[in-house]
Amino acid sequence: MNPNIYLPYISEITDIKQETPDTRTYDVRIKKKDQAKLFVSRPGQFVEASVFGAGEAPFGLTTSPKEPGVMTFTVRACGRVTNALAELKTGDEIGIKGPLGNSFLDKIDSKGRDVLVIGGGIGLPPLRSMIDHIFNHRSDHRDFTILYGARTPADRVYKYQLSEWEKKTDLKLVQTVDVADKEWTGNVGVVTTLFPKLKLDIPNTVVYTCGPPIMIKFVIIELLKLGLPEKQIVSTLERYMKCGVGKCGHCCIGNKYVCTEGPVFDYTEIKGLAEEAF
Amino acid sequence: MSQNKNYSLAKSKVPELLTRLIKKGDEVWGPMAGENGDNFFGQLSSEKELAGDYINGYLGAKRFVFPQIEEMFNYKKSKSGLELSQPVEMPRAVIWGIRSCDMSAVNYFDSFFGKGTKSGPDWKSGDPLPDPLYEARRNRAVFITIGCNVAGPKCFCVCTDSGPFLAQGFDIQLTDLGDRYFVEVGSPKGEEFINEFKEYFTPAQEGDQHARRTLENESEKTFQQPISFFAKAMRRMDQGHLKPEFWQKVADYCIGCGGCIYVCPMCSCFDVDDKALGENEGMRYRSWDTCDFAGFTREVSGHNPRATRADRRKRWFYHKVSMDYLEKNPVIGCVGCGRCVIACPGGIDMPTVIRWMRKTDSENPKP
Repeated sequence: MNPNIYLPYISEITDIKQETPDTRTYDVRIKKKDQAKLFVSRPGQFVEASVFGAGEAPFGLTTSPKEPGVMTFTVRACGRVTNALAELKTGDEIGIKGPLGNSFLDKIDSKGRDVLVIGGGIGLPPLRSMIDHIFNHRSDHRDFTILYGARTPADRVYKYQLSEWEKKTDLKLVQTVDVADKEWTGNVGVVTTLFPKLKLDIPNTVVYTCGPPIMIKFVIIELLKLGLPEKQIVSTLERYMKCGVGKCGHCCIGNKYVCTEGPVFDYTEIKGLAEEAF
Repeated sequence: MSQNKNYSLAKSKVPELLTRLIKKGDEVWGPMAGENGDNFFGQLSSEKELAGDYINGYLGAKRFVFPQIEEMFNYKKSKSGLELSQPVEMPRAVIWGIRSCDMSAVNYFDSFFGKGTKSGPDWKSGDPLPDPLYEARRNRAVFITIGCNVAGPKCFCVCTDSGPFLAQGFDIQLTDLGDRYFVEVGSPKGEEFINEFKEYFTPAQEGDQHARRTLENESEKTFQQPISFFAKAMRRMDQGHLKPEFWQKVADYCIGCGGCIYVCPMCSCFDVDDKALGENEGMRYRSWDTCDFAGFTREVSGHNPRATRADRRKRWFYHKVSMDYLEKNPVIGCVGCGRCVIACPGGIDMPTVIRWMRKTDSENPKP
């Protein structure tokens, strides 16, 4: 973190991948070396990216860090800042504040357990930092399952990655879409409809989930019905966010700041909030 | 704190002292008369603008520590790339005649904005971070408060431990003794100020301290606002007695104007935005924002976790009086200044809703 919490690091976009018609993945590098070495992220953390003139917005980091000062995040163009980001090209400069927030690793230790990752739509990118982390420590974990739901097959992000994951023998990937197209041969329905097909070792499974609020809400309801212990349900919460550093008040749920005390919470924390989280 | 050092300041000397400060280049802030018989806190360009004895106007000294619009940094795009520049350093500010309630709000801001302990690689989730903009303003300010000999018609600071006089948390506290002020020093910064202008401050006169204590006791008898007992209301809120019907009733009286938040010396939420100042430059600034507006939490998908006015009213009162927040900050979110009582067109100000809360339980969900 920069000692001045509001001042972004000047950074350069080093690569852009088009994921879907409205979603792109940005590789970004902090330009100044002394600032870059302060930027060491952990899975689940996020940054505030600035397009000067349009403003700043929070994005979950999508890779486990390889070196300080380097990051990747995925953005759907749907608002002022995200549309301004969509106009940019490789080599353009943006501002980066972060890494911000807590990490999946701050919650329950998944070592020695089964891991179930449940992502919805644009909720897969923040989970991918944790997926990376699990692959990096694969032998510490037992069965590894990813459920990914999207509105349509075309709305899925990381299609190149998904087909690689499908081939892996140490990972079970199950995908589903709300509305299929002609080529789609997989599941159709919301992500919770996949649950009955899973053989879960309930006491020894840790779940990481991220997606639209309505999806997380029903994922948690179904997991609780299956008897999953509350501490083992780990979810990100999202809120409209401005400053990202616990001052502006936009992201508060109850007395928690999603930006500094989250974005990762386990269900014991979520159910104790004084306001509905979803 | 060296609170036993007391001085006396002749009222007739105040214009000269303020004039010297202004000439010296200090920013001097104080209560100024408005056009409609009201008053507001602002920067004086001459001591003549200082209002005399005053009851807090809508705009208090919050305007100084947390301006309604404040530059965070400037950006400039050139061929060599982007450059960011921070606001320049500003002179000392003397905040003259701030009331006890508003000073208490500044002390709360200290714990919320200022008390950052860590940043950098050691920073962990949940650790407080210092707000550099607030710190800069706080550090350059000397707060000279004035105790209230008579409570204003809507004041209730006796219920929030934030007045009418302060025991601590000020740099200098004045007490109006007619022709002179009794002067108490509350911080090293206050002591330095008095040393710098010692020709104006004489040792306190015999009996002045006793007079100050008597005035405080007398002042406490002048509160007219029905006393706002927070403790029971806080328990009602935290023990789950306040059901949706309760907040719907509050919301029924609310027109969603955000006035309570605009005038509240403790409300600190802000929006962040960029403003172009030319083709290739601009500034990032923050401006007051309010949880009372639907857009405060509305996400780009259209999803709004606080979609109804009842949700938003609940949020405001929850933040102000829930014990959950006392874990983070040592005081409740109200200093009893009474501004919301005057501002709210629907009459659902803090004392009123606190009263409703006390009378509400699971059997009587609607006040």
